[in-house]
Amino acid sequence: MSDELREVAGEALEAARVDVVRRLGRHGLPTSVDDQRLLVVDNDDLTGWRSEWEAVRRSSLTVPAVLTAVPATGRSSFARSAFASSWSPSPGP
Amino acid sequence: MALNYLLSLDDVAEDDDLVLDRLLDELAVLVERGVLWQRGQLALDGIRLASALDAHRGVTLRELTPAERGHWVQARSPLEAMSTLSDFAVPRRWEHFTPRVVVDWLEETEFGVEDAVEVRQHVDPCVLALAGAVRAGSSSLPKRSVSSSSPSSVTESSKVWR
Repeated sequence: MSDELREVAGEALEAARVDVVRRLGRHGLPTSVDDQRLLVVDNDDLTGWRSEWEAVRRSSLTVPAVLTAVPATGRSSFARSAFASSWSPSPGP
Repeated sequence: MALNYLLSLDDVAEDDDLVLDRLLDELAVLVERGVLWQRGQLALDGIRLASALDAHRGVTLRELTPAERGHWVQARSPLEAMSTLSDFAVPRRWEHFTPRVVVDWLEETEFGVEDAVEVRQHVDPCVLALAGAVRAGSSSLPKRSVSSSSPSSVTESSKVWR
């Protein structure tokens, strides 16, 4: 892939991000949410491991309610097209 | 791809060059015509590394991070997606295996010359030889900061792009 194409692709992804941030802000929705992830850490004597939870921030779009709540307008409806591509109904009988 | 980018961010309000570069690298692989790429990852337990091993014939070996090991546990937990809505009981497996290291390689071959199965037949002996060399502390490896006990289990995953 040429450097030009790579730059264009990167700009397109950033444009999508900026557009989503604008839409989230317009509707008072958060851009990130609290979450927890599991860590597996070796015991000090290396006889086993323990697990612990770590607080992290995640994109608010990981919450389906936020993803679907971002309104879609016109052909550039990012959220609607993204949701449609990631979800399909079960096949009928 | 845009959704993948936005879901991977810690905060949509802030960009992340590392995530962006990874996605663009994957895109570059996808748009490469006439070439088949296969990335393989082999997760192993029973091996301890003081530091990651440099690439050896295109194969790397590194410690999994605590978060990656936690992701493994969560993704394979029998409590995940447990459902009582059906009378059909889906078989589940409980295991104590939690991989400690991952062998990682990317194989390129001209599309149409060999199919994915043939590529795997070429790659797997190399990877398994590396794993065996790590256990034996072979001097042919770039670094030798390795200690090992008997590997208790092995798992493997792979992706194929065309």
